[in-house]
Amino acid sequence: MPDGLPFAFEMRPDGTAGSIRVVRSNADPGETSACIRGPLLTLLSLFDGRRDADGAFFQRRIDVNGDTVAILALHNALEASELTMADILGLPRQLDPLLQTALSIAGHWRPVEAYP
Amino acid sequence: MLRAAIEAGADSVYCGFRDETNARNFPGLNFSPEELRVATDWAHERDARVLLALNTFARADATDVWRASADAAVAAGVDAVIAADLAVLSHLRANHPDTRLHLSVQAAAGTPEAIAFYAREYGVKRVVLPRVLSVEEIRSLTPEISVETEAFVYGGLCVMAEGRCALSSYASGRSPNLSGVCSPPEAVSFSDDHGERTTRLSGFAIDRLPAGQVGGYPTLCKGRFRGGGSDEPGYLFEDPVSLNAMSLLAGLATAGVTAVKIEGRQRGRAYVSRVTAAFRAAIDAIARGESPAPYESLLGDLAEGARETTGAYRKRWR
Repeated sequence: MPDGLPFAFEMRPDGTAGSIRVVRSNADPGETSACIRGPLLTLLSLFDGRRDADGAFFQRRIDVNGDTVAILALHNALEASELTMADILGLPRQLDPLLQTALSIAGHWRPVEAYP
Repeated sequence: MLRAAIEAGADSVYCGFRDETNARNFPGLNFSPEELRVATDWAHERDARVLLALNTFARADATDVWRASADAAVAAGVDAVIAADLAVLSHLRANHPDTRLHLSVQAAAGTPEAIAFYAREYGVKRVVLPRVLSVEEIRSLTPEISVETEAFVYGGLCVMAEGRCALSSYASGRSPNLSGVCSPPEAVSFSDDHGERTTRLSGFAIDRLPAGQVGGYPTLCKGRFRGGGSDEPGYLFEDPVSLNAMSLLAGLATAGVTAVKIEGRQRGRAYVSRVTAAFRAAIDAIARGESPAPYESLLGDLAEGARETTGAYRKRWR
């Protein structure tokens, strides 16, 4: 759930039929197992493995509540999946460098090349 | 993560099976036997080695699980098995005498006598040193032993003697040495009240962090409690902090350490890539006769509690 924004990402893991939906942040969460909150760019960088989740948790950039097993399983599944930003947005992978540049311009984004 | 480590410059990667036979038994983590075989082939094609951690202690009523994992590791073609339990070491020695054995840090072997026992009885070729030794103690130890040494240089720290912590089992009924987890995720919960984060283990509140204050893992040893005559809660066992011994790499090398090890099998690609790349660069700099100083401050945001320490290596921590 991105901080201060009117929408949230609703993830439903279901084998190969899993889905991510964008929903209103004030919508009834229904039977949500767990919730992860933080700045949008932090959440996106966790989706594609660019940011270290434990570090974000230690530094309070994200808050988590609900089923900790589900949160940990999601974290490890995302890390194993090697998704790119293009995959997450449903775009061709060739567009990933362009997306990184756009997010870099948007600020608070650290491209891969910046890492030692 | 194995690929990330090798691509970032690791010479070897240690990993575990997806069960209680390794000390990072978390959901969605680790390898099946077939995945390990594929990963080992991939690593070997790149001249990297795979070390399989089989480092929990076999339960009396389930030793078959550990035997099967040992056999599967050998079948996958790993370069060495890291073990601590005498039963596991004994099984490997008897049934797979050509398999290279490393003694896990969980065995807490830090004296010439203890290490000589494992070398003599089980043919152990390398010992992973307990994280309670100083550099000078390691320097004194290495001439006294006949096996290689491996030292942790980055990652989590435990306050207990290696392999002898049962603290979490008092709250959750599980412990790292028997179940492969301390603070199993099903026993952990977080709640948020106006930015204040309360951490619970099996329903016991073990920490309450005001908004914005950095924290650590949800373990009892990193919890805050009232005690010692103070009404203010504090870290009675250990502050949340990560080991970073990059500044001691040259000293560890001259002390006779064969290999250095980065902890973090439960961490993600960003952590693995950044920490491995930084240590690769530091080691290569030292090999060229240059200082590793430019790389020493690159990893602070990854540390538990956003703080780093040289731990017992400098003898201030005990």
